[in-house]
Amino acid sequence: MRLSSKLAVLLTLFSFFSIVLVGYPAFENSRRALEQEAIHHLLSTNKSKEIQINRWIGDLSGNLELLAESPFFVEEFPGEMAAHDPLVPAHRFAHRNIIAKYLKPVLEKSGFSELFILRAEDGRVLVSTDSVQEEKYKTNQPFFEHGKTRTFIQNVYYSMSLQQPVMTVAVPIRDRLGKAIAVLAGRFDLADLSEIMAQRSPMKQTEESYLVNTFNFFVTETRFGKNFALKKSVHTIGVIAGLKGESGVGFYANYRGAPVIGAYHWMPERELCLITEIEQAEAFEPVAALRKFLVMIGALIGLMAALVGWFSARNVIRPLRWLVKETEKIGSGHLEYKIQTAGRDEVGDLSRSFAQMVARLRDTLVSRDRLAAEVAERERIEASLRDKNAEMEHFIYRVSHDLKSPLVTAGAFLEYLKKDIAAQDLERVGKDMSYIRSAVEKMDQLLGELLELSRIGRVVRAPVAISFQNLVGEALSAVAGHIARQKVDVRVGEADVVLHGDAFRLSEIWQNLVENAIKYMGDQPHPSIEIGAERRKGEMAFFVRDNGMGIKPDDQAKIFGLFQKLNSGSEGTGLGLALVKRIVEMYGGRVWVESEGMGQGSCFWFTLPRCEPV
Amino acid sequence: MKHPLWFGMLAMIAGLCACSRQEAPKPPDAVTVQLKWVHQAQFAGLYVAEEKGYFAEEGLKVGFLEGGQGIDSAQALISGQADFAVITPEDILIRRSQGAAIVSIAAIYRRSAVVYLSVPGTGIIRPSDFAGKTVAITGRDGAVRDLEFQFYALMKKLGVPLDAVRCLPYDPDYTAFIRGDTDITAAFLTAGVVKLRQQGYSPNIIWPGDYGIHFYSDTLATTETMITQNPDRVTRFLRAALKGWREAVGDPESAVAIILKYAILPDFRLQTAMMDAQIPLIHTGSGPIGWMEPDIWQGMYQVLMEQGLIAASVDVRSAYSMAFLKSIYEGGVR
Repeated sequence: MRLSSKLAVLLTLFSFFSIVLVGYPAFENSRRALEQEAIHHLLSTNKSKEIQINRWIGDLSGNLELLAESPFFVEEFPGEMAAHDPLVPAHRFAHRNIIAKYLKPVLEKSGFSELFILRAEDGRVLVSTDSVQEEKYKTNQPFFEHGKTRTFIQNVYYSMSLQQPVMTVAVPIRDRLGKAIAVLAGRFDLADLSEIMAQRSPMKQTEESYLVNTFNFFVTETRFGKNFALKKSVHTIGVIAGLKGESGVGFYANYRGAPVIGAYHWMPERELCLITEIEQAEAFEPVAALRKFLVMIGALIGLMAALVGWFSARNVIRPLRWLVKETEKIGSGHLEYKIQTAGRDEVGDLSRSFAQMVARLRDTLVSRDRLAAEVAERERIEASLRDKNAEMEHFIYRVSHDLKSPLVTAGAFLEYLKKDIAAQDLERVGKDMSYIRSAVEKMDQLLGELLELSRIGRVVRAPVAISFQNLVGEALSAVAGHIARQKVDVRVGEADVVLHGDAFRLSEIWQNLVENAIKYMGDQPHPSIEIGAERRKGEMAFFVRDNGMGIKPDDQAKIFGLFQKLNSGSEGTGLGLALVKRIVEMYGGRVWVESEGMGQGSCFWFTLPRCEPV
Repeated sequence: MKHPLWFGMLAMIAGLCACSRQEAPKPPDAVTVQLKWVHQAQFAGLYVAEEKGYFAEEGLKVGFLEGGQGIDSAQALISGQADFAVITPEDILIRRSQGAAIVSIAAIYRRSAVVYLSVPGTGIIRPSDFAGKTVAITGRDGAVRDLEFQFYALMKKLGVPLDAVRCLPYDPDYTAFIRGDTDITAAFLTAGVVKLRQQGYSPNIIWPGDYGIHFYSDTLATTETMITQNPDRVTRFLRAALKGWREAVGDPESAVAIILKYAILPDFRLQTAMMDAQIPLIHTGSGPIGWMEPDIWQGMYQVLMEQGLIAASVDVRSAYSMAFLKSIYEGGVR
């Protein structure tokens, strides 16, 4: 994970944690307060509903009792009832009179839907404000049975007569002797009961109260359902608890499956369970708003924290990332690259010290290179000194050996000379003498050439300009005798080069190479030598080519050493090619030989950079 | 690494299943119920008990025998073709008087569904208005006699001489009644009234119960043999059936959904209307579902005897048994 993301997440988590830490207790406290308030409200609603129901029932029963105990029913009604005969006009008048004068006024001013009088004897409805109900028998009804002796309220049940749920109160009508001769009954208008249950605070959207009977059936209508009374049963946690005779509060799903806070209350005298419920969503709506607010604030702060974290991390990272790029450039070998060191912050300090470090590193590397070059130079010089030492040792050995052999020859012939002189053999004396002279001459030549060799580089003549043709011409004239003797065909190329240098020494190069070519011509029947020059890789290269015996590749490096003769029987001192090498090297050049091998001829090449005109 | 936990839980569940199976190794008892009429809302409680597995919970495998024209529920019980039957109490009393050992164990229609209808505006609002009128009540070939018993009882109770009314055969299509040729017709609250209301009529309803004639309509019955030999099976059957009925009347909409699976007329409006019409008969608001009163049995017997339908006198108390209802409701089921 990138540093910026890490920092953003960290800050967000931290802010979230803080919000939860601060918000949750606040939320929980408000929720508890609301819960308490809701519970209190529901309980007091139930209490007040119960009081209202009891007052409603009490008022109605009281009205009925007052009516039953009124002078008419005590004094006159028993007589009229005894003379009951619908066919008699007087009776019909009395019948209408009871309804109009005594029942209707009570019916109208109180909340009864029907008032009727039952004969105590057989439960027959003698008089009713609803004429259809007259002549029916209520013999089996509990309100009739109990109404004969006391005020009795029959709970909500389904009336087949009315084809609807009803609740009936009955009071006895007693004559002067206190004998119950009839029962005065009234049907409660259940709309009023439903009205009591429906009353509620207009502020509450989901609050509702209803009654449930012992068979789990709704007794009053609900706010959100139609025709529930005695048609639908309900088995919610609240109802079940209420029907067990308990009163309390619960959190459960109501008959619609909505989560509610419900207060249930058992009314023993009514044998009904009173339920008041409010949806939890509504009860806790304020805290839901608070929660929403907290979540929003939390989200906002979290977002801000994330942004701040991200930007600040970016601010820190940007110069760091830049520094990383700069150091990568240096890392890839560009030590000379200058790191920008602007900025007064820690990153600026870092880049400055990094730049210093790079500078120091650079210095160290430069002195190291110089040292390495010096070491290499010294090693080179040392090697060349070693070569020179070896050459010198070899030279001394060769010189002493080659100088010694003519001396041994001369010494031996001097002995012969002494003997031949003693024997007076003149012919042999002459021979001995010529051998001795030959040895001396050989020695003289050897010493002369050694001297020459030592002079090269030591004795320097002033340089002159001389053409290639002139130099070759001088060399060839010096060895003209050899050429003629061996009948060598010498051809000189037409190169037009002017060289600057010691003309004598330069001419010696060609002279020695031609001599060498003639010397190693072998048994070539048509000996020829070709001399020329050509431009090779920007420098002038000179060559002397022959068609002689050639040189084995293994020997090609050795031949330029002092006293190196590949064939010890061959004539010469073995110093010729060493001389050539010394001269060429004096002018900064190189000398090498090309030969395909034995019998293939040889070509000697050399360069003379310091002789070429600038 | 979650797998071992899952496997453990599965193994536990499997183990529990195995255990519970071991606890109930007995195969369910097969019982057959003869219905009183064709499949319709009338038997909602039994369908609910079956569909919701209440019978299965009681270790019963219930088969329904559909009723209908010419099918004698009582005979199915007597012959042993059915273990239980939905029968009218009249049938039980009459058959018992003829020697059949059948017993009612619960009253499903605790109020009679039989009513008498008149056309509004004719002034016929109570039985005393029947004098001089034509009444469609008599059953053909002894069928639908249930409609007659209460009528005669009503007339007798209210002192209307039978020769003052003209009795005609009952017509389930109510053609003459609708035309106005017949003043009064008998009908079932749960069938004829529903039908007429669906056709747009709202007749005056005269219910015998309002005039002291208290009859049950549908009762659940079994044989004395079953009661003596398998009282436990009877209890289990009745407990499941009552639970089904309780649920059906408590939630008519769900009940109708189940009824429609069985009904030969799977008409939602019809079955809903039937369901609504029978709820007050089943759940009256007083007393638990199925409960029976000695007075009512005695009253029914009285009526039948007066009408000369009882062959030999019967001990009414042996025609019904409260033992099962009592044990079930004492067991805490409301």
